[in-house]
Amino acid sequence: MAQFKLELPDDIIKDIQKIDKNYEQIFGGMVKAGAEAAQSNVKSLVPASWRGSEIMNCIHLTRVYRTPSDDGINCKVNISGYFYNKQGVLTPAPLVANVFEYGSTKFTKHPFFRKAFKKGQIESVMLQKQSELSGGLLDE
Amino acid sequence: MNELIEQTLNDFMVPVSFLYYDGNAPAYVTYQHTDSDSVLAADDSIINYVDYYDFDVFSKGNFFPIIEALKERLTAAGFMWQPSRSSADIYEKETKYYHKTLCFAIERSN
Repeated sequence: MAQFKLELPDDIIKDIQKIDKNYEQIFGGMVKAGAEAAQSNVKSLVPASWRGSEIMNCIHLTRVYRTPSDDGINCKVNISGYFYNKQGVLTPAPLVANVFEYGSTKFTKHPFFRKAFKKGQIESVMLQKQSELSGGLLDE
Repeated sequence: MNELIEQTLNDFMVPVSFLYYDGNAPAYVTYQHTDSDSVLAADDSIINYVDYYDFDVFSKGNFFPIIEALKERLTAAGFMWQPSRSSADIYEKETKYYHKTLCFAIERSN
């Protein structure tokens, strides 16, 4: 009977072990880098009236977290919390953001949040981070 | 593109208007282009791109039948509903209108 035996070189096995051991750190770093790019876009696209306002401090990133339902690793950009508006009134930031993003019967919409998620740019940033964190092991 | 939308929603169940509605109907829909994004490029040129349109449903009553009818019409005309770009349910206390933004995308060639 003919036999064929193949042995993977040690360095390849070590590379695979390294990726397996660090995959949470690698993918977590990637989604965080993507979210930071989106957050930066959000901050640059906000309506002019937001600049210099305390609402700018309400544009947050979540921590990197896992969702058991799909085994996903996530990091989100959100607008949360309260701020004092120019009249000194404590105002919920998501309410203001919602009115700008989707408008109302009396207020013309100024979408800025959805526009901040540019797929190509975010993918590029994530791949760059992947290369950095994996030491080039996951490069094509 | 607006012509396609107008034709698609020509005899829709409630008035449909571009950007702004200046009537008194208890329910109406406004639409507007909000964003574009390239999806395919070659030789430093954009070959295909996606246009995003917001359809804002305003209603003093139950807006779910309007939403379902809108989705059906637009999907049949080649639009794709974008759940992640659509809004939550909103109620405007001042005007007593319920409001929901539905975002649809359509792929175009340059």
